[in-house]
Amino acid sequence: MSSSAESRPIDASKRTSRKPVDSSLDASLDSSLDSSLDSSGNADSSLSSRNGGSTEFTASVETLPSHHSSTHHSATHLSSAHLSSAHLSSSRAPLPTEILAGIRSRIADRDELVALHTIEARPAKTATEVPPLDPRLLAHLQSKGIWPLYSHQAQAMNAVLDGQNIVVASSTASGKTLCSTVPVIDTMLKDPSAHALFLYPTKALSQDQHRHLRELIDGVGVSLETGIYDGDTEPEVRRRLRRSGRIILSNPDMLHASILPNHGGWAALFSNLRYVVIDEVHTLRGIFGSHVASVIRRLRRICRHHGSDPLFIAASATIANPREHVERLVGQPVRIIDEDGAPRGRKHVALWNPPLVKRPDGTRSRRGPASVAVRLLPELVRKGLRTICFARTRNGVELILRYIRERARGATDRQQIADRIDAYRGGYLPSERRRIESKLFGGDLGGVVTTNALEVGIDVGGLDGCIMVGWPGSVCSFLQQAGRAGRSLGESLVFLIAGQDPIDQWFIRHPETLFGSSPENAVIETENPYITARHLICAAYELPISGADSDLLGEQVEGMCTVLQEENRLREEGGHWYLSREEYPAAQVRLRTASEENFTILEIGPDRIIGELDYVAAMVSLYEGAIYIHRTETFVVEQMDHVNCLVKIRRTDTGYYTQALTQKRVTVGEEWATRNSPGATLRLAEVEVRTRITGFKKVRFHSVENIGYGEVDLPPLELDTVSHEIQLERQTVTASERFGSGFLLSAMHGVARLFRDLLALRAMCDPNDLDHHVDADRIHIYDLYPGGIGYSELGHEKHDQVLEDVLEAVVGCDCAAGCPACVLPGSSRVASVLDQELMEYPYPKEATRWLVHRLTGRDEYVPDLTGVAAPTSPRPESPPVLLDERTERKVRKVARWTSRRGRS
Amino acid sequence: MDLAKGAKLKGDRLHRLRRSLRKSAPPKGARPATMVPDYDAIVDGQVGRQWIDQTPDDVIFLDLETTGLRADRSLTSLIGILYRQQDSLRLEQWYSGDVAGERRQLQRLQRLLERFDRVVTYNGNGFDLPFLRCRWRWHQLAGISDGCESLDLLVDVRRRYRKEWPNCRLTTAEERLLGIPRCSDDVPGSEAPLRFQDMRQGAPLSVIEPVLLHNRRDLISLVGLRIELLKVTIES
Repeated sequence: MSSSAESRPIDASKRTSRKPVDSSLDASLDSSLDSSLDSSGNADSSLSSRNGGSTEFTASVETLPSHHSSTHHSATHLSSAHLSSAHLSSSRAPLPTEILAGIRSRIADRDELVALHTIEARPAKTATEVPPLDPRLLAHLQSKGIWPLYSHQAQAMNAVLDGQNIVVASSTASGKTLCSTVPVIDTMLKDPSAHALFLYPTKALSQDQHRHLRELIDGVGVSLETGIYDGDTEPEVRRRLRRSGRIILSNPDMLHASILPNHGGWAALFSNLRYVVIDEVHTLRGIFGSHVASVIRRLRRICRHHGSDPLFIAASATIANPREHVERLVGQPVRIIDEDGAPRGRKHVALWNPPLVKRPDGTRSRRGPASVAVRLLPELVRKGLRTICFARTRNGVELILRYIRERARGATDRQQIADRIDAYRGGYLPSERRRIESKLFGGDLGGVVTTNALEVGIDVGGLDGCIMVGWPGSVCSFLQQAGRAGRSLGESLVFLIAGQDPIDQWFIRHPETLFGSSPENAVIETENPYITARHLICAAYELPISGADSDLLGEQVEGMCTVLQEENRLREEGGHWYLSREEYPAAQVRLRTASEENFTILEIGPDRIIGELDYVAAMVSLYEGAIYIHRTETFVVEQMDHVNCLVKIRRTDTGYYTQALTQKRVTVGEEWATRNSPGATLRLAEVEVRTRITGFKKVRFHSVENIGYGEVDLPPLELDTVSHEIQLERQTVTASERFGSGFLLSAMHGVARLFRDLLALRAMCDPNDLDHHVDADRIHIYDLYPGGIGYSELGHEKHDQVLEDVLEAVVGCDCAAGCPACVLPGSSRVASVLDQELMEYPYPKEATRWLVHRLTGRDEYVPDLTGVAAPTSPRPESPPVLLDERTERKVRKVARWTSRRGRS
Repeated sequence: MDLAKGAKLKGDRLHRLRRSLRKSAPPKGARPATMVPDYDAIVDGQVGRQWIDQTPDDVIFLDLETTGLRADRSLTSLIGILYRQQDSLRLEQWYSGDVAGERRQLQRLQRLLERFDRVVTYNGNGFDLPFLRCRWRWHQLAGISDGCESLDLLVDVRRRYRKEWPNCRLTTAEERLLGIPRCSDDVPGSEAPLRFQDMRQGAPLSVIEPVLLHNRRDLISLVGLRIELLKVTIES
């Protein structure tokens, strides 16, 4: 196996010559898994993003690597390709490359492993100069073997001690934690009145980080009072921390709702606040990030009132725009530290694209990634690789486990392997997590299956293998999850198994983006008045507002306060604005949702509240008869109460989901920017979108098969937002006419749909956070949030790059004339198609391709409007049948052998 | 990218923002603050010539009623002051029902205090003055300068009578040093915050009348108490 540093397709020449495996048994295993899971968890994840659930925001824990000392000691043993020994029970562990070869011959079809990328081992880059730290701190670091510091750690510490705001953007397990904890503690050693605030996006993370902080503090031997201040904190602890806590660990929600409004009780903290540390800052994006930007401005204003001006230290995963993002978030210049000096072992990353399988009805679609994982995980465990397997949903975790166990039935050796695989479930009890981790570390467990939400909190030094079942949602998450594999400087194996989804397939086509510069941007909008106005009201509770606050609360502060006064929320007195009534406004503003009028979702039967959905999402996707998917369970909406914002749903088992048929009208308002582009004029503008659901279709999962219609009668949603508009030139329109009616419409819809999905990729948001609309000669891509969140703005900025992605997606898709993985509507709840003409147009892919050529200024593409049409016909359901592993393997052998023989 | 960002709140967006604000749940029981006019009276009839003559004109008596004990989350509901104006004693009471109103009253108080050298209170060092300073700071107003001295009568009373009297409350000092028992209808100071709250939530003015009366009596007592304590000092 060569150790090239570039990813390359494997055996590309042999890809097309083989017939795809034609086994109805394979198909039924994967179709039963598929129908339970939805290959890339799309329908489910969209909801979790709109619920603002913290599950969407993935994070990694920065461990003070327990292996750190061994890292330095073994720095000279880099050439060894053997896995570090102590924890494996077998005599000589097989090399990852051997294991990979074995997998390819036994499990994967030859064309399934699309790319193999080897990230070479890299030695540590250590700092040449020592930052001016307190000698006690230096002594402690040295005694722990955390010496010399990595280059980026020293750079970060120096910058902070020099008084600069910084963002450290480097990979997982690169020692980012020390970049903030060390300078903070150093300052506290020198200044007994200094205080610091550490913010984390999740509770689990703050618990882990508090432990590390205490280890450092206790190791140095200084007395510093620290603590976590969040919803779970006991009253006595809260009092103590307010009074005498020097380092407070909390989260943005608590800061917003409790700490800032009661800043009088936190005078000790705010009068001497030297540092605000923000971990996982890339998760502060979208709606949440936009709210947090306002919270930070309130924080800075309160600090100024009490007499402090803290420095910001942020840590980010790898994204395209860390510095710009943090600058927008905190409103100050920030220095970026992105050189990564940490050492790493060799890592083999295999991208696995399950093959196209021929279905009994003649259509082809890809097997689901879960069916691959069910075979792959036991195989890796059998070979002695301690492996973590990330599934996208909780249900997915359970199903994978179940199938692993079922396939192992009847054979003791396979049973034993299956027994050593367990789920790493949620619950966030630190004791439970430690127990599983120690079992994994100690060898009792060989593998765990978990959701993305738990990629934080694994505190073992690293594992040997990692499997990702479907695209994890962002390059960030990919890197964090892949980072879980790789102990010390040993070799590790990572498998990414793609699902049938434009985004998954995009990454299969662009493996270099996983290892080079990320296309992903953290996007926030700091001037959305729907958000800033609400925070102004919160700010008025905290301190009077005046024009002098314009540097922090925005130039528009006086204008907005005047409006708020007219609406009786504020009252002016002596040039200052105050709350006009007695209220606690922070309790009404939730940081993770777009509006206050969320719909509560109630399950009839058990009569329990399942969750909330924000207003806009509910209005465009819920109606009586709608199928609501929550964690891959399906429910039907029985009643929508718009007055009380309540949705009543009932558990149901259907094989279909619903798509709203909507009438939309987009009225363009104030234009923010405009420019010309090949074939079109581009505009970024405020728009009003009026959406009315007129009915809905019932669509079978994973197809475009329409199995029924329903009617609804609902009030329309009026949404004020921002849109990126692509208005086709006259010539483009006239040139399309010769291809017949329906051509241009189909082309525009194809472009719109893919633009939206691929923009979501770049913006690290869910495609359901955007919507598209096609109108005569215009395509609109707009944010599904009042006031806009910045996504369409990114689309406007990156228009050309996104179009290139669209073209690739169209050209690269293996389907004949169009499919749900490329130009046809996927399982999005908001996608709507009204025209029969559009639905029946047979060549959406060709039409789309023609249009993209024109929009990117390429030579004219001549569409092929003959041949196989895009599918509209039904695909019958195959009954799920499970084979045990041994039998299945035999059947496959037979199939391959006979097919080889069959070819002359 | 140079954008004409939408925060200018033009036309449509402004209209939508207003609608959106209206939709958010209005707080329960909130209503605009009741206007309570200043009380301003000459109280010579209640104090007698002697007290007036022995009260210098560089001294001001102060007593606050507040919505709570913690300055960072309470308001000054009532500012009660008494001072010599030529040959009379003038008592004023300024009410504020909300935080915006409080600003105005605090500004007035600060300007008034500049005219005096000493502020006389009962437990002012422990409560009233720190409270005021905190509220001034919160409103980003300048407080009183160092030139204004505090004379906290409780300090003297405690020092002298702590061992003799059952307690050092103002009413006790009134009785024992001035010989004036409080009327039985006097409402204790501890009830004041609740009564103010009731009124802010819609109860009529009569609800705080007893509080206003109590505050006036306190202020008047301060005048006499100051004189008495001085006498004792001179004697001893």
